[in-house]
Amino acid sequence: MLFKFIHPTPKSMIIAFFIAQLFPLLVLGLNQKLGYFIGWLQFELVILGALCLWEVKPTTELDERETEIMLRWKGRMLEVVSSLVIIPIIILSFKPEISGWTLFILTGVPMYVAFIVCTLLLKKELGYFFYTVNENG
Amino acid sequence: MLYTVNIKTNLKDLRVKSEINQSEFARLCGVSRQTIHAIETSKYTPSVELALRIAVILNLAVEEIFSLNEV
Repeated sequence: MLFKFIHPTPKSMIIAFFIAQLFPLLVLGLNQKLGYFIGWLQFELVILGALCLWEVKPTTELDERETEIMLRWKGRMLEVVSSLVIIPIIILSFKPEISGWTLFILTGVPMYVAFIVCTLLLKKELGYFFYTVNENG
Repeated sequence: MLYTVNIKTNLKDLRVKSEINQSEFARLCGVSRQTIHAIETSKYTPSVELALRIAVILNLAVEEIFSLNEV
């Protein structure tokens, strides 16, 4: 629902990217550990940001074929991601002493990879990788 | 009986005959150029609304553009 109003257009993502660049530097001056953590988080956000620069059209501009493909892939993404949620539950039931970082690596990373793979396949099916504003429809 | 039905189209020929390029045709139909390409190559079956819109643009009957291809 939120993305119906906030479209990750190239322009907005570039602005967000430059604002985010300054944030870890500000935090680093206040708290070093937190600064490093935010720096690492930013590294991940840069990858996500790069993906969003490729983001598909705003939903209001999608035609019937694109809407159908988008819905199908969003459904598949939800299925894959929800099935991956079960991993930490199973691991925790056998090894409750496991660390949060290990859980993150075993769950977060596959989810992230699944998201990227699904997004790329979605774009392939749509027939374009880069959305330009002058595109028809 | 198990059979597959898809739509056969000669949209590309008709569009070329009308001297309209894919981008212009897509703009007239209100869809993306990729969608027109998908319809022309039978990768996508348009909705009734889009099929009728295409027919109006080409000034033809829907049956002249699309037909059933039973296998």
